[in-house]
Amino acid sequence: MLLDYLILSWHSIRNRSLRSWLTILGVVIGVTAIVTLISIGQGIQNSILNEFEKVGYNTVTVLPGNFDTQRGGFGNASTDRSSYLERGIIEEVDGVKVSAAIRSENLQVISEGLEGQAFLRVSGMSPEVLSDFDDYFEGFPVAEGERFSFESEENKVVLGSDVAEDLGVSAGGKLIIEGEEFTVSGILGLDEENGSSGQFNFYGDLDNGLFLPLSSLEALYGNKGKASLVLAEVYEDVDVAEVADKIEKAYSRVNTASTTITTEEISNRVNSALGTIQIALAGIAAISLLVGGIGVMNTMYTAVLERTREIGVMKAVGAKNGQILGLFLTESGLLGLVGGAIGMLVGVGLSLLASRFISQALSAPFTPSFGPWLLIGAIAFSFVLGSISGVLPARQASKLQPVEALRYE
Amino acid sequence: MVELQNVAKQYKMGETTVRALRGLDLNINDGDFVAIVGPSGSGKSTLMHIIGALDIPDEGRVLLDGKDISDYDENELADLRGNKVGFVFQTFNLIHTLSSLDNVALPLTFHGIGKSEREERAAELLEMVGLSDRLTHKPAELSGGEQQRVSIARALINDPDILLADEPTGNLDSDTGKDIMELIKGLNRDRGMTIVVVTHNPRDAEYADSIVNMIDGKISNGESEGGGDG
Repeated sequence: MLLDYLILSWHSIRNRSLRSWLTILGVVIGVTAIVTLISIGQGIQNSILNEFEKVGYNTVTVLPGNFDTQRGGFGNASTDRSSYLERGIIEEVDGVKVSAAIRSENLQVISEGLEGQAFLRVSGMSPEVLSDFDDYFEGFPVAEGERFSFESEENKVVLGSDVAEDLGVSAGGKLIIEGEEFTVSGILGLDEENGSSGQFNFYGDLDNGLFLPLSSLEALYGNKGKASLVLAEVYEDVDVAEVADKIEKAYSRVNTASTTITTEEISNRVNSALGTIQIALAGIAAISLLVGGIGVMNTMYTAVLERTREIGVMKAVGAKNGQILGLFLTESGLLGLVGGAIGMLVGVGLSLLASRFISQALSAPFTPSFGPWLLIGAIAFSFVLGSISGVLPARQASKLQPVEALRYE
Repeated sequence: MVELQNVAKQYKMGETTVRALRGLDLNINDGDFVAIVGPSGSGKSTLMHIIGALDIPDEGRVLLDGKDISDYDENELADLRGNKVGFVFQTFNLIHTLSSLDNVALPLTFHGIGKSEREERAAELLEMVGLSDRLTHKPAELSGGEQQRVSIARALINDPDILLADEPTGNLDSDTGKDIMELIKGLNRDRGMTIVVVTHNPRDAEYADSIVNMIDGKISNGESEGGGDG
């Protein structure tokens, strides 16, 4: 029966093809907007969360200073901002399995390829950075030169690719840092396709970093046991948030303000922020879909008027009111369905196209996310939308008196 | 098979109320071929609509096979039309988006009969009305006579007890009209089908066994024998 209705509907849709296609176009635009916005929004959310998930859910990042993460976000540092954390404190906290320390200082750097001197951020890394937290730094890939452990006491440094270029040195070259000579043991090669040069970790841009063992930095600068960023991995079976809380308390006991950041907390924030934006965007797109629905309704009212005699004939040959209703609902549902299917395809195409620009803008790999629920949902929803838009016209058709319908000119 | 008792019907056309039928009695028996004649506005089409369960009277009773259908609801009337009655219209009223075959098969769609059976029966009937080579043609590709043959085939597809034709030759030239009337007469003669033809063409009325003359919503002469004077 439904198949018969579909065939009959298809005949009448094809018969007024320009008008049908214009009506369908209205639905197409709405569905395209929704599919594009949701798939891109979901894609952005996924790619941001993926970056954070590389860090791992059981990693706590500890920064010195009291960032009011509850109210202001990371940019709003309060006045109480110390620049160092005691490395030793975190090792005492219950639940911490292993920790790593990074200390960054702006140091004088002299290179043969550079005229004069530069003050650059030089980071001392504890060995655990590589042994336990290399994911945090995109795997810390050394493209040129030798692999590094940060355990060496010799004067060796690893450079980010950008800073190596600026300084005009390559692996095996020499640098003078604060008067000490260092050998460039390697240069980082971050995979542009797959990595994002540290966009989402709390270190910052790896391509512009100079990395040497924490012990070397301490030898240069003194002030042992201090860190400007501490990473802690907690045991699998403990509550990460609880440990983060304990870490903050431990630091406050020694009068050091600290801020802990967990992947879970970030992913919640990202989810809720992007979720709100997505709902707002989808709401705007839904308005265009509503307009598409009104278009379907308009077309169906016209169709009922035009086909009044046809309805009369159908009733004369035995069609019941419910069958006429079903026929017109199928027809309007079909308009929605075709619009939904085309809109879905156009939406997929459009967001794939847009993703190339978004990748450039984010300077990170980006793929829009098309969940099956989005694709099936878009089509199902447009069928339902079409049918609902057809309810009133179809009711009008079904209630026509056969004699009057046959008399209609 | 059809019995009308004191049937009255009025309807509104704009501001005015038209008293289309004013207390009318009529008996049509199985196998009858009745022509209803009269000037336009005499109520003959309204009468036909009531006989065909397309409309119900304001007053009086309509008995179909002894059952009073005056208080049937819309769905019951639809069932009746679908099973017992076949309609042929002056303007053919074919659905112009459908082929001859689909037009003829359409009533069966509403009976939930499968596609292959529908098409088989429709093809048989189209062959019977002489259109076996026009199955896939759309109405616009057919002559008036051919369209009326399609509509007769459609009227027959439910195997109705009674065929109602409202000015079946009104849009046809006289030769074609004659062919159509011959076809209808044949149904009555060969199949014993009950037929009511509404017409104001005296030559059409000649085919009938009896003629009902209508004036001002009433039957003026009771029933008279047709086929005679012309």
